Amino acid sequence: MSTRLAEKYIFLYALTILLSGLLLIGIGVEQIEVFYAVYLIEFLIAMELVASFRKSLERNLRPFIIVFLAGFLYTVVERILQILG
Amino acid sequence: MKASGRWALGTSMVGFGVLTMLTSIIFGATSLAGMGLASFLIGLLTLYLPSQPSVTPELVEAYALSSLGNVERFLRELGPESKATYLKVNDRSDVPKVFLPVADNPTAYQPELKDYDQLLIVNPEDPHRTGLLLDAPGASLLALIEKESGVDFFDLGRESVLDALKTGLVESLELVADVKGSFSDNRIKLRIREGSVGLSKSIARLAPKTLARLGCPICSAAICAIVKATKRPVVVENASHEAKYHNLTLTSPGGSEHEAR
Repeated sequence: MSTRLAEKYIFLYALTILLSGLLLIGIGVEQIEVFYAVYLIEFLIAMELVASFRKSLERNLRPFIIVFLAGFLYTVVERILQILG
Repeated sequence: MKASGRWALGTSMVGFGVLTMLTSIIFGATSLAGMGLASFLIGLLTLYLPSQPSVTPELVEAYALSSLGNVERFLRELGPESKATYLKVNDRSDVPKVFLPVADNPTAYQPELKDYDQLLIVNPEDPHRTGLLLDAPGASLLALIEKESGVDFFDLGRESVLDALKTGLVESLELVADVKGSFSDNRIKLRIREGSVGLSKSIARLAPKTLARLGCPICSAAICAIVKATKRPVVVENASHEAKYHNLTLTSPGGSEHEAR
């Protein structure tokens, strides 16, 4: 039986973030915000690549996007306050 | 992957991710937190995204069986032995229709638009223009394919319809394993390989006439897609449903040579 689209998406995303995580460690990145931002970008790209075949998969992932973006907004606001403070 | 295995994998990855992140906070190792975050996210996605097909073959069969049985009874009692014609679609919102004349028609007859609400079209002078006018069995399946893949077949031409059909049936709905086809002059051949949602033997046994004349719902959806893309009527010359393959031979007036995969 062929791999289902949702599973393909998870494999693609897992592979991408593990490789990019190792790369970030390799180049000596120390901020967790950078990891988070890179993972978010990869999440959105993987979603665009895979969910273009199926709109319902995109709808399924929408709560994830909202939570992800809220987390990203939080880190940005925190960093701004840090700079201002 | 089975649901229980997937749940175990997802939970362990989430747990491992949380533990790694907590450990990294204690020891101040950011790179470890990065890998923990990755594990956490993969675990969440593994738990969240559906692992099983959203519909089971049994459910598809249960839904289709009675409707196809009714169409079969119609065909058996009224007894038209002619070839079915999928009618030309004039507008993107039109539901594809199929006309079954009482007697075979050398030209694909297109009933008048005013007759589209009728089930039985009677023309006492011409048996070629008398017959059943049905909504195509795969019309609603085609609508679902269009919704899921975001493609309106009305906007496509015959050169891209097979690719879009394959994307819709194989990738978007995961209904079949493969779709192959060829256009040559006015002849269209389609070969569909069944996937997880197969055409069960009970449907083939219950509605043999419907399957042979109109095609099963999957084949019918494919024919509707072709009709919508080519904007021409299509006559079903032959529809055979074997164990794993559905073979369709269709004719459509006009067209140029085009081979697809």
